[in-house]
Amino acid sequence: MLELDGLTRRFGAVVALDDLSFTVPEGQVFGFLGPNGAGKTTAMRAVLGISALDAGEIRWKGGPAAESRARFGYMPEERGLYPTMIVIEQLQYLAELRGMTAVDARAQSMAWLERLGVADRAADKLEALSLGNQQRVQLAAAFVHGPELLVLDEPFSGLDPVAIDSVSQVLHDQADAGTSVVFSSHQLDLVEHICNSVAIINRGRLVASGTVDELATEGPARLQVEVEGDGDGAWAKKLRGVEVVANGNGRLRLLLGPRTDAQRVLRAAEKAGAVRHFSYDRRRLSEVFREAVSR
Amino acid sequence: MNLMWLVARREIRERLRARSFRVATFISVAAVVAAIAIPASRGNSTATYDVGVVNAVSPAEVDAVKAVGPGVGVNLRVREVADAEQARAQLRDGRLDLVVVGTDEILTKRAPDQGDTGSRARLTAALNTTVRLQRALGRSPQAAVVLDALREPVAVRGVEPSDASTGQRVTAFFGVLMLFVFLQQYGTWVLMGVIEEKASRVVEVLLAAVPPRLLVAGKVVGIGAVALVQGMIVGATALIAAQATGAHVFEGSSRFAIAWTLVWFVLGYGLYSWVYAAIGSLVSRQADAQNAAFPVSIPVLVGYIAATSLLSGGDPSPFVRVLAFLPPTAPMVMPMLIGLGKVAVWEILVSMGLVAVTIALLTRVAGDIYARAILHSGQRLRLRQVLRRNFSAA
Repeated sequence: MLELDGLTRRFGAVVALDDLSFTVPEGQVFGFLGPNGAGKTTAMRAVLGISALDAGEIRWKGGPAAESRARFGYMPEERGLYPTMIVIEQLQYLAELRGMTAVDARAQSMAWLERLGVADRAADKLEALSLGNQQRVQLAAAFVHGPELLVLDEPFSGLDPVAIDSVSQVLHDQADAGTSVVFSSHQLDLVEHICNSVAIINRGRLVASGTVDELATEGPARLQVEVEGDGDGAWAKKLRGVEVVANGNGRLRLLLGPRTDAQRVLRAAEKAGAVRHFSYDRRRLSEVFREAVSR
Repeated sequence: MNLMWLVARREIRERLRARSFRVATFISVAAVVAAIAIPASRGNSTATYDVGVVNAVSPAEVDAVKAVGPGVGVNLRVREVADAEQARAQLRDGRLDLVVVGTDEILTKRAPDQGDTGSRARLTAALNTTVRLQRALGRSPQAAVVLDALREPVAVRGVEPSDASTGQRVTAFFGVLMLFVFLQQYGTWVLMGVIEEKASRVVEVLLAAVPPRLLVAGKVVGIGAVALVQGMIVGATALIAAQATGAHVFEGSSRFAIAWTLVWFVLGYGLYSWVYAAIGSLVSRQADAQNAAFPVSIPVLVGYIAATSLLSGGDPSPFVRVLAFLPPTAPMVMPMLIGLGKVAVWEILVSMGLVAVTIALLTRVAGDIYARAILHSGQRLRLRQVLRRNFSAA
C-alpha cells in the first residue's frame, strides 16, 4: 500500500501540493487525475524521491518510501532515454542501477523488449527507432527491474489505439501479479475503463477519490428517459425535484433531488407519451472530474 | 558508491566506443609523434660538443678527454685554449660547450641540474671522472694515493647562472599544451554530457534510481578516467617516439616531467569538471552551452598564457608566481614552473593543497547547484536564482 500523507510543496509563491493525502491499494491500477498544473507530476516525483517536500510523508508497505525506491518503477511525463545508446544496453544499465546483476538485467531487458514487441530493435541505437517504438522502450525501462510500484506519468499520451490496448493489458497483467500501478492521464474514458480506483486533485489538493464504481454512483440518482414525440422534454421540466442535465435528441438525462422517487418520474413520463427508454444512469468519470475540479 | 561506479562505467564504455574519442586520440598521438620525430630526423642524431682544454697537465690529458666521446655516445671536437678567460668568453658565445681547466675544474655555460640524464650531463659526468683520474695519476702512481685523490670531486661551474635547458622547455611546453587542450576538451565533455542528459530528459529516469550527487560524480569520474587513459596513451607515445628516433626532447628535463603533468591534469580536471557540470545543469539546450561555458575558459586561457610566457627565460614575475598558487590557474602555471625547475618542493605542495581544498569545496557547491537545477527546463537559469535558499526546480 502506498500512502501519501499531508504532502506539501511550494515553489516560491506557487503552492504545488497543499496537504495532499491519499492511499493506493496494492495490486490495483490506480488513476491519478487532475487538470494541468494541479500538482500531479510534483506528487509523482515526490513518490520517487526526485522532488523534495516541504512537509508530509510517503510510506510504502508501512515504511518510509525512501527505503524501497529501488523497487519502484517510473516513467516521467517528458520521456527521455539516451538517444545514442543501444536499446538493450540502455535497459540493462537502468536495471543495474536498480540493483540487478548484469546477467539478470540483460535477461529481463530482453524479455521486456519481446513482450512489448520491439525485440528486433534491441541492438539499435534508440534514435533509430520510430517514436512509437521509443515509447515502448521507455515503458520497458520502467518495468525492467520488476518493480513493486509503478508510477507512470501520462503513459498513454502519444500512443495509437492499438498500442493503448496493449499497454492497458500490460498494466492489468502487472496489477494481477501484485504490482501497484499509479498513472496519470487526461484520457478519462480510458481511465474509467482500466482503473480500479482514482484520485482527483486540483490546486494541489485532493478533491475526489474512491473506486470508479463509487464515484459513478455516489451523489443524487440519475436517470435517462426518452419519451416518443417529446423532443424538448417539457414534461420533465415541470417536475419538482428533477433537474434536466442534458437532452440528446430527445434522450433526457435527469438528476433527481434527494427525496424524489424514480417511480414518480416514470409515471410522469408515461403520461407524457410512450416511454421508449428508461434507465438508471451512472455518472461518467469525466462528469465526476468536471464537477470535482469546478468546486 | 556502487551506483557511482555504474554511472562512471557507462561513461567510460560509451566514450571509449565513440568515434570522436578514437579520432581525438589518433590526432593527439600523430601530433606528438610528428613533433618529436620530425626535428629528430632533420638534426644529426648524434650530438657534437666542442670541448676546450686549458692548462693541460700533459698531452695524455687531452687524449683522455678525446676518448670520452665514444663512451658517452657523442662526437667531440677537442681543442686547447690559451687561458681560462678566453675559454669563458667562448663558452658564453657558444663556440665551446665545455671547458676542462687543468685538473681543477670543469666549466660549462650553465651548471647542470641533478637528475639531468641528457647527453650533455652524461658527458660532463664522464669528463669529471676522467679529470679526476688524470689528477690522481699526476700526484702519484701509487694505488692508495690514486684512490684517495679520486674521492675529491672536480668542481663543475657554470659561467652563467643556470637556466632551463631547451629540452626542459620543450617538454614543459608540451606538458602545458596538453594540459590546456585536455582541460578544455574533457571539461567540455562533462558540460555536454550533463546537457545531453538534461535536454533528452533521461535525467529524470536516472534520478529515480540515483541521487543527483552520485549521478554527477559518476559522470565526472568516468570522463576523467577516459581522459587519463588518453593522457597516458599520448605520454607513452611521446616516450616511445623519443626513444625510437633518438630525439633529444626529454633531454635535460626531470625524469618525472610526464608524471607531474598527469598529476596536474588530475587536479585541474577535478577542479574544472565540477564547474562545467554545474554550468551544464543550468542550461537546457546544447545551443546555449558555448555561451555558458565561456567564462570558465578565461582562467584556463590566462593560466596557459602566463605559463607559456615563462618559456622566454628569466625568473618568473611575482604576478606569475601568484597565478601558480591561485587554484584556477595553478594547474597550468605550476607544472610549467616545475618543468623549468623554478619552484621549490614546498611551493608545489602548497599549491596542490590549495587546489585540493578548492576541489573539495566545489564538489559540495557544484553538487548542490546540479541537484537544484538539473530538472529545471526552459529558460537558462542564472546562478543567483539557483543559489537562493528556497530555490528548487523539482
